[in-house]
Formats: sequence, C-alpha cells, structure tokens
Amino acid sequence: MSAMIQSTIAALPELLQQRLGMGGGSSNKKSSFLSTVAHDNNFQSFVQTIHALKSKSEEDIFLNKVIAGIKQQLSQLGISPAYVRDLVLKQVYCEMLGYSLPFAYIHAVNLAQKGSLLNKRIGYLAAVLSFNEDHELALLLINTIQRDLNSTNVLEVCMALSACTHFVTADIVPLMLPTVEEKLKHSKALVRKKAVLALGSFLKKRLSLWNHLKPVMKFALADKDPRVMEAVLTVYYPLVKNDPTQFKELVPTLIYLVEQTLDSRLPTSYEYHSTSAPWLLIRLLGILGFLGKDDKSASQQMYSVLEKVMLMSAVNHSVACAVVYESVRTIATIVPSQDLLNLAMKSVANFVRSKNSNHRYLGIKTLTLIVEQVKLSYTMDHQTVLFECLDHCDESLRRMTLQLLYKIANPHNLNVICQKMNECLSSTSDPYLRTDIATKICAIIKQHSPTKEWLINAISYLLLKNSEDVPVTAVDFLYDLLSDGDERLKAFAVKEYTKLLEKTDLPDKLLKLSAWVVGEYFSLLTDHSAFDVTTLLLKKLHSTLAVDVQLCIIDAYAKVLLMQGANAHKYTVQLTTMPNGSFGIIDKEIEHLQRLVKCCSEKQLSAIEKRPQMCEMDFTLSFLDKYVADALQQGASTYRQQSPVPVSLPAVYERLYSFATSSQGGSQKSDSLPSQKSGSSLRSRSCLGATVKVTPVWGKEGLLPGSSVVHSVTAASDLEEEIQQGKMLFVGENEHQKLASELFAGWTTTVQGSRKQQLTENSIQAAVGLHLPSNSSVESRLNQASVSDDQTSRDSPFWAME
Amino acid sequence: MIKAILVFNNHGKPRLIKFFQYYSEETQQNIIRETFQLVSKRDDSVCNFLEGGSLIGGSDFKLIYRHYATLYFVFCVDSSESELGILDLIQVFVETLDKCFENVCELDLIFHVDKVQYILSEIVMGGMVLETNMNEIVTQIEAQNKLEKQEVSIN
Repeated sequence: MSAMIQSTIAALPELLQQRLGMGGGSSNKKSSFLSTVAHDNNFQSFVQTIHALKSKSEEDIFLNKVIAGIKQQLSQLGISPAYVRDLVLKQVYCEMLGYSLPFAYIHAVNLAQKGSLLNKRIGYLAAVLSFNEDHELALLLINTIQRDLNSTNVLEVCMALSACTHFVTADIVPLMLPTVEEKLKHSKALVRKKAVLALGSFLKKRLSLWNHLKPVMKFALADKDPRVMEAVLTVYYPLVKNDPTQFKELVPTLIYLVEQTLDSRLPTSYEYHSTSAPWLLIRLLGILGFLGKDDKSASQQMYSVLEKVMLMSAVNHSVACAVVYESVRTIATIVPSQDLLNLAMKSVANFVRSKNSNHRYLGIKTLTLIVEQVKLSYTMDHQTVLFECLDHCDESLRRMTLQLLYKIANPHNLNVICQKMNECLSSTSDPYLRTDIATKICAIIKQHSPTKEWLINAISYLLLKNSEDVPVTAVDFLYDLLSDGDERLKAFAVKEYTKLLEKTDLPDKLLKLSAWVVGEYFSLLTDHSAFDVTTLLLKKLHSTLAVDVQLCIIDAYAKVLLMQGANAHKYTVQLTTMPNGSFGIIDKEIEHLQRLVKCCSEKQLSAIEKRPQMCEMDFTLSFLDKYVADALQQGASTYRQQSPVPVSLPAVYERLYSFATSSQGGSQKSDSLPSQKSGSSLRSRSCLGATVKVTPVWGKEGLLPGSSVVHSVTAASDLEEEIQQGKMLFVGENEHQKLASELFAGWTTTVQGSRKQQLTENSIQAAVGLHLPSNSSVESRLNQASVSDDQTSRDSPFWAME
Repeated sequence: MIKAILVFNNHGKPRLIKFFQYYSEETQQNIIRETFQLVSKRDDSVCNFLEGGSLIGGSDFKLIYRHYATLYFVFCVDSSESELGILDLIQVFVETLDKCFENVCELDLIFHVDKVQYILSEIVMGGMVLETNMNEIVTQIEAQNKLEKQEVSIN
C-alpha cells in the first residue's frame, strides 16, 4: 500500500512537469527527454537555490546545512529508493562543488545493486565519480558488476562494462576476465565495443595479460562492425608504441583498412564533415607510423597509401586537416621516400603560414619532427615565421618554437638560440617550463659550444640569472671540465670567477663554484694579490648563507692563505677583524684556522699545502707500526674484526660530500676508493671497510708472517720527516702534533684533486675501526678521540678536530 | 588517453568534472581552479592547446580546450591523441548535447548533471574514446531513456 502511494507521489512531479513544461522549453522533444526521469522536484529546487546564491560564503552555509540534512536522512531506515536517488544526486552535485560526503557512498553502491535501471545508472554514476578501485566499497561494487555483466538486459551489461574500467584492480582482473571476454561475442556491436575497451583497461593494469589476449584481440580486429575494430586499434596504440616489433604483421591489414576508408567503402554514417571516418584514419596512421619507424621494408609498403592521404581533397575543414597532420607525422616518423617528403614539406609550409593559430602550432610541431629528415636549409625558408612565433603573445606557440630551436641548434646559430632561450626563461614563471628550458640550454651549450671558455661563460651566466633552474649535472660538468682542463683554461676560469666574486647577490651555486675555482687555481691568478682575494672572499662570507656555501668560502680562503707560507699569519688579522658571531656554525673553522697559522711553522704549512697528488692509500697504517708494537708489548690484545658500522655524519657533511663527490673527475681512480655519483656516497665512505679488502697484519705475537711493514719503527725525530711527506699521523699527547695531525686528517689526500680531501676524514674513522688493537685503555682513548671527532665534526668538518 | 574532462563557466564554477585518474577531493578543486586560471587568460585568437599547471606538470599531457559562449570545455590528453582530433571530439560532444537538450545552454548542464555525465560516458570510456558518431550516441541514449520510462510506468 505504502509503496503504491510512494510511487504515485514520485510520479506526480513528472506529470506536473509534463503539463507545465520545463523552464520555458516547451517543445515536445525536450520535455519528453527530460521527463523520462522521474526527477524529484527536490533536486531541481536544490540546484535552483544554489544557482541563486550570490556569494561563496552563502553557498558554504547553505551546503553545509544540506549536507547535514542528507546525512540525517540517509541514516533513517526504510526510505524509498527514489528518495535515496535524489539524495545521491545531491551528493554528486555537492562533490562537484568541492564538498565531500563520504557517508553517502554506501548508498550509491546500494542503489547500483538493486533496483531499476534508473537507480542503477545513478548509483553507478555516483560511485564512479566518488571513489576509485582502492576504496573499500569497490569490492562490493565488483559483486554487482559481475551480476550485471551476466544479466540479459543490454543496458545493464553496458553499465557494468563501463564500471569495469574504474573499479577493477590488477588482482581482480582474472576474476572478471572470462565474463568480459565472453561479451566479445555478443550480438550487439555496442557491447562488443565496450568489452574491447574494458579489456584494454585490464591490459593497462596487468601487462602480462597480453599473451592471453592477443588472439582474442586479433579476432576482434576482424569484426564486421568497424567501430569494434576502431576500439581494438585504440587499445593497440600504446602497445605498438612500446614495442612495435610484435605488431609488424599488422602492417598490410592496416594499409588495407586505410585504403578502404579513403575509397569511401564505409557507410555514409561514418562521414564527418565530408571526411570518411577521420578518427579511424588518424588512429590507423598513428599506428602505421610506429610500425614503420626505422624499418625500410615496412615503410615502403606504406608509401602509396600515404600519398593518397596527402592528396586528399577538401582540406578546408579542421578534421581533414587533422588527418593530413597525422599523415605528415607518420611520414616524419618512418623512413620516407623523397616524394613523400616533398609532399609533407608542402603541407608543413601550409600549416606554418596559415592564419589559424592552431594550424601554425601544429606546423611548428611537425617542422620539429621533420627537421631531422631534411636539410637544415629547409627551416631557413621559414625563418621569418619562426621569429614571429618566438615573440608571439601565445605562450604555447612560443614553447613549440623553442622546441624547434633546440632541435636545430648548431655551432653557428648557438649564440642567437641561447639568447632567445634565455629571454624566454626570464619571462616565464611556470617552474616546469623553466627547468625544461634551462636543461635544454645547458644541453645545446655542452654539445655545440665553440670553445671551452665560451661554455664556462655561458653556463656561469645562466647560473647568475636563473640558478634554481639549472640542473645539477650542468654544474658538475663545469667542475669536471675545469679539473680536467689545461693551465690556460684554469687561468681563464680563475680570472673570470674572481671578477664575478666582486658582484653582489650571487646565487649559492655560483658562489660555491666561484669560491672553489678561486681557491683551487689561485696560483694561476696574475692580476690580483692574495690579500685582495682573501678580502673578497671574506666579504662574501655571511652567517645567513647556507652552511655548505660558508664552508666552501672558508675552504677557498684557507687554500689561498696557506699558500702564503710564512706570511700566512699576517692574514689572520683579517679574521680577527670580522665581527663576532658573524659566522655562526663555522666559527670553529675560523678559530682552528687561526690556531693552525699560529702554531705551525712555515715548512709545516707548505707541506699541508703541497697536497701530494698521487699516493697509495696505506690501509695497513704502517706508520703506526711503532705504536702497535708498543701496545702489543704491553699486553694489548689484537683487533677482533667486526663488521663496520656506518657512521652517520650530520647533514653538513652530506652536502659537502655531494658537492665534492657528485662527479668523480677523470680517469684517475685510485684502486682504493670506489667512486660514487652523489648523496649516498656518504654511507659508502664510512663503510669503507666493507668495500675494501684489508688483510690483517698484526697478530697476538706481533707482526704476522707474510705481512710486510712499509716503514720500520720510527723515532720521534722521523715524525717531522713524515709530516713533510704528507703521510697521516695520529699521535695523542703532544698538543702541537695533535692539532697538526688532526688537521692532516683533512688534508692528506690520496685521490686526485683537493676537493676529495674530506674523504680521508671518514676513511680514518673506518680504518681506525679496523686495525688498532682493542685494548680497553687504548680503545677508550680511541673512542674518546672518535667521539670528540664526532662532536667536532658536527661543527667543523674540514679540519681541526678538537 | 584522456586524463580528465572539465567543464566550467566564465567565472570558474565547475559544471561537469570527470577524472579518469584518481585525485582527492581537494586536489580536484585545486586542479579546477588552476585550469580555470590558465584557460581564462587566453585570448580568443591564440591556439587551443595549453601546457602547464600541476595537472600536467612536466609530463606528456596537454590541455585542449574550447570556449563556447559562457562555458569552457577542457580535455586533458596525452600525446597519443591527435590535438585536432580532440578538438573535433569536443565539437561532437557539444553537438550531441545540443541534440539531446535542444538548444543546450548552461542551465541545462546545471540542472541535468547526471544526464550530461551519461552522454559523456557514451563518448569516452575509461579515458579512451568510445564513440565519435553523434547519431549513434543519441540513439543509444534514447533507447536507455525509453527503457527507463517503461520501468517507471510499470512500477
């Protein structure tokens, strides 16, 4: 009884609507279309109210009220499906406006499960719009989908197939597969078409299905209804793009299809603005393009049909242009004949010169594609148009032209192209575009620059103007270039960068680079004195800079300073005159540097500076042999090999290391350290023991037989000599020597280049863990030392551990 | 492959949104806002293809849009779709709406969201183009409506 009343009430609005007509549109067709849905007036009035609201805040208030109302109504039991439908529609609308109603999702699923076609439709719609396959309710829906797939009602099957593309996860695919495959044999073309696309979506989720689906798809391709065939091609497109070799056998079939279409063999219903099945043609040509790429024999088969397409008449309407554009793209991709190329070039010329901005855009795009096949001189014909496009107000066109410029860059036009690209870079604010342009500029500079000096200047300029966008690889490339360069290049670089340092407001990357170059190659600088350079460097130092930048500057400063030898202590005046606390974290560095200069003699300083270029890393620590012998004599036990613990050094280190090690220069890799590319090199440094084979040298009784001692036990007087030779030193007691040795830790290097010095720091830590006998007292002393190392390393990574 | 279809008016109010890749509610609204900002800045004389915005963000996709009176129809597609082909697809969509609603206007999209979504689902399914022939689409929709009407009157 109540059900009957409810349905009567539900039908009333429909009757009313039919009498009064909807919103003024009283034609029969419209009202009949609209009133097939027994839309509750409720939803209509709801939308009307929203539409009438003037401001966002009013809308907020109203919608929040409505949402609360919906929540309350949905929680009641026994509401009619029609009412639920109405509420779900409201939910869909609210979600479109940005208000989410997660409590209503289950009701949408319920609607889809039971009930009439209309309810099902609304239920599916709400579900598709509200959540995806990862949601918990998706599983419930799968059940419904399976049931609907097996229903006799075609509409239900179609709805279920559409829902398949949204809710089926990779795990559920095997479940659904047989049912959907069966639909491929359905009598209605629409169902077959949808089944093909549903299978396509399964393939995307589970590529391994391809072996199974291949024969099925092939069968569907030969379907008597062209629309099903078109759907199969849509599924094939990304597959062919990925791996054309599997589909080569399709070439004759596709060519045949193109011919059929062009000969108007398809029924007239396929015509769109006097072009027969344009989208099908586009799809076919696209796939043919992939198949013909780099394959002369396949391409040759396509020549005749491509020619036919190009000579198509009535290129007035945009869709015919679309087909021609696609065929030009295909010609540019495959191995074309000269005739085809000529035809293509004519079309491209038409596109580029067209008044229609869409066509111009596509013209430039095809020009970019085709420029690889034809001589560069061809693009010169379009120069004027190109330059016009560069300055065009349309940003898309500018972007496309930049792509073209990137393609046609060569040593002759490099200057102009870089200039134009720089202009575009500074005028756009889209971060992706900026990075893209900066990467492109760096790439063409690297490839085509006339001289290395030009390259350095160009990249420095780029860094100066837009340093955030310049890729790290470009900066690393500069470091490498300079390290491997000859004297002349280094002299040039150091001169340029000193000049650059005089500018204010340098970006971090550039500041680091300049400081490094100046410090490294200061000896080649002719027109500035050491005093000038050091003052310049100190001026740049500021506590607001990032720590790694500060460290770079201090590093450079120290290098220059130490090179002065005896006069070094005169420079410390500069340091003392800097205001207190202007350095922050590197205060310790400064302090240690001052101490170093004060304590060490000239010979020692110049030894630090000497930095022998090529040594073997002595993992046996043979210079400690005296120490070890003494300890063993006193009853210390030998070292028990343990697995090395990765030392986690603070972030400061990390940045330094990545700067220093992100590009391992040149061919000189000493057999000791493995070269790493960036970042994670940190852990590899500290796990040195893990990567380097070290044989134990010492046993309980003393030196193990078979192991050679590199140096005999040395007296204290030999210490000086060893310092001179730049060997590592690690003696505890004497303050001078302790300081010098700890400083040595940062300075003696075995791998080429001074920026690798920091490595030895870590290598000591690792090596120490490996070799020294772990006597309790010795160990505790060592531990103390390493702990203090750790602490100081937090503040002062370079030198002077305290 | 089509990633998203957005229809909004000249003030940026969404009239129809369909994403073929899942985004949270908040992200969806951000995308709509951003797309509106990008598209509304464009003059009518420039081309209908756009790149940029976080929906695309450096990837293969681009925005292809058409401006009809008070509405913007925006399709976000990747490089496998022909740009001009999509432009014509938008035209087909609008023509179908016109046929179904007779002189379709923005109000029709507002008041009959579900119907418009249904028409769209007959054109694009799972991000792939399903049907491009207007008559076929309309036939299918009318068949559905007839069946639904029959069901209602039976009940």
